[in-house]
Amino acid sequence: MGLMRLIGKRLLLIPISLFILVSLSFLLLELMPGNPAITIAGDFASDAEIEKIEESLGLNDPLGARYLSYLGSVVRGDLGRSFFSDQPVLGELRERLPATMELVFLSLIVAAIVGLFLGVLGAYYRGRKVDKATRGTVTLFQSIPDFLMALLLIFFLFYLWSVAPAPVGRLGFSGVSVEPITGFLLVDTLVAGDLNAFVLAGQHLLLPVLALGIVYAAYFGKTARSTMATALDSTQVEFARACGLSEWKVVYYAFLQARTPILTYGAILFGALIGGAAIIETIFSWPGAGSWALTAILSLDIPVIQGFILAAGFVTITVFLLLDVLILLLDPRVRL
Amino acid sequence: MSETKLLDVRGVVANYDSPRGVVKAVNAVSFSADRKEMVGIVGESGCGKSATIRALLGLIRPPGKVVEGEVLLDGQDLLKMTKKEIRQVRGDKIGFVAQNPFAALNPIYKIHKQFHNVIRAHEGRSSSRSTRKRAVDMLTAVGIPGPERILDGYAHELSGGMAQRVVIALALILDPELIVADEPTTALDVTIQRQILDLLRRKTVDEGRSLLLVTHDLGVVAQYCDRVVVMYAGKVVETGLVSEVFARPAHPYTLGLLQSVPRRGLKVRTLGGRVPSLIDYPPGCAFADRCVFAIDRCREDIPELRPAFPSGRGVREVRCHVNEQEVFADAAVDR
Repeated sequence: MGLMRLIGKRLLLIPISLFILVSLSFLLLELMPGNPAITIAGDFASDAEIEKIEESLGLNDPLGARYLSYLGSVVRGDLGRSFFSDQPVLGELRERLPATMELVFLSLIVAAIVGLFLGVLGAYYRGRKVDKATRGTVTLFQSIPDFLMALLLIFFLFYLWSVAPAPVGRLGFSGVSVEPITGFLLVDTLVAGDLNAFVLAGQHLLLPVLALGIVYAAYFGKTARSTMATALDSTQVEFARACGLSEWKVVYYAFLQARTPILTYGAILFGALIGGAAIIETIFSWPGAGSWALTAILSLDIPVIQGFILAAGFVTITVFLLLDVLILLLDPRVRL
Repeated sequence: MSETKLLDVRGVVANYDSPRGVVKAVNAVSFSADRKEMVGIVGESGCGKSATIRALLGLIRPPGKVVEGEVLLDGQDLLKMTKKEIRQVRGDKIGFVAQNPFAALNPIYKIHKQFHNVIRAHEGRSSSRSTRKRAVDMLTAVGIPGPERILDGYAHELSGGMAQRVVIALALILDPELIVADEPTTALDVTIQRQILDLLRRKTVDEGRSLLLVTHDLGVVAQYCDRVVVMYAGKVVETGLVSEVFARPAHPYTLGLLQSVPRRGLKVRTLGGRVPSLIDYPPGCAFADRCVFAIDRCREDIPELRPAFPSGRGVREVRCHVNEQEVFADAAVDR
């Protein structure tokens, strides 16, 4: 069947894509100004101290040798250790990537629901008051920076109304600990049967998910508005209407046409948000991969940056593969 | 002719709001259609023929609006109906055949599901088996071999002719009294065109329905329709029996349309100029600027529909200040 062949082909492409990604990022990081040894030792370190650190990090080896040794260890599943914490990069990734993915995944669901609602409503009532109102809302959402949205939500929902907990990580200072299985707290707490921890995790997700969800709802809203407007104008929708189908069904027929570009947009946003959620993670002290990578970039922690790029690339490629499979399953015309 | 017509359209006006002003797409259009009758609506692009049939199906969407008139189907005014009532009429009492079957059919759903949805929209819960049985019967009736296989397939797997037959079957599945076909053969090649039109005629005449055939193909009208409504710039400019109108055109525009069809032994003439803007409707006849017969009155005074050739068969009406004998005399010159 065509589907299995396509998946097989795409799975084979993943290592190649990752190889190109690792090589490019390695070279680009090489071009980055600054010396990690100085950052580690501090501005007042003596030349000898810096020399020693450079030696221990292997920074003095020729570029080719370092590239090959990095590539070799990546293939063996070793992403190196952080220059600063000396922790294995892979171990940190395993903790932090699920935290980010949980946040991004839920945010995109909120964004999709809010955005689709606004976009479909606007497209259906095109040119009328409802359309103007939804478009105004979308523009408003889009023009508020995510960090400002986060601060506003914290101010109102935590500080003034105490609806949400303080913005301090995934479980706050509750002392609750959850055995990591998937790394997704909502899943892990349910698996452990710990309902209290589940609620606690949900409460802590509320604000960051809302902040990202509302801001990114604007993107879904815009895409949905334009693709649905085109779909609602199509002959197919007119024919459905002429056959006497209910308006709900007619709008659903239009949505069947419009959903592919909307899904594609969602996948692109997912990839972008793996790193793009860094500011929100920082504001909410979220132990995620984005803020971790941001810190690493500021301190020239090259193994961490490399590890993050590799992980984000892997997630993005996987999401795109899933997207292609999904589109294939949803649209009989693409099946060959 | 029976006393009450199946379809009686009276003075329908439909406007579209545009940034540049109000577009009068359908301007006091009246016509009727009887059972077992095929009525052709002809005119060039933008003359309002598509907007007219959409007005009577309740398919005009904002910024468009039907502002005046009556559409009587079996004596019931469709324009006075609530949204829910008119939805029940669509598909059930009026079947719609679209121009391009591939654009009209749902590409995601199997053909059976599309029949199922249409039946369910009007009759509530129906079992998949019963809708399937009815779909098979209808597909057979429109001349599709192997209907079972078609039902389990998708629209894109069909040929153009087969796809249009499926559209017709969907339009007829609830046994409507009126079929409205919007250029049903424009997207098909000529041999298929004939089969589709023959099918539509059988379904109309043999089963006592009424058919509105919107087209710009005069040959199709001449061959298949009983009566013709010629539209120009949102208005009806001439109506009558096809045999009468084609033999003795009373409106210069009809004459122009007929002369622009290439026929052996006749000179092909083209109509110069363009349809006037429907926003700034001219103070006189909309056709005056393109008309070789135009007199001063045509540019000042909007002509009304009036009887023409009273000695001929059937009701004949024309919207023109010029005497129809004069127009017909010009048509005769070519012969």
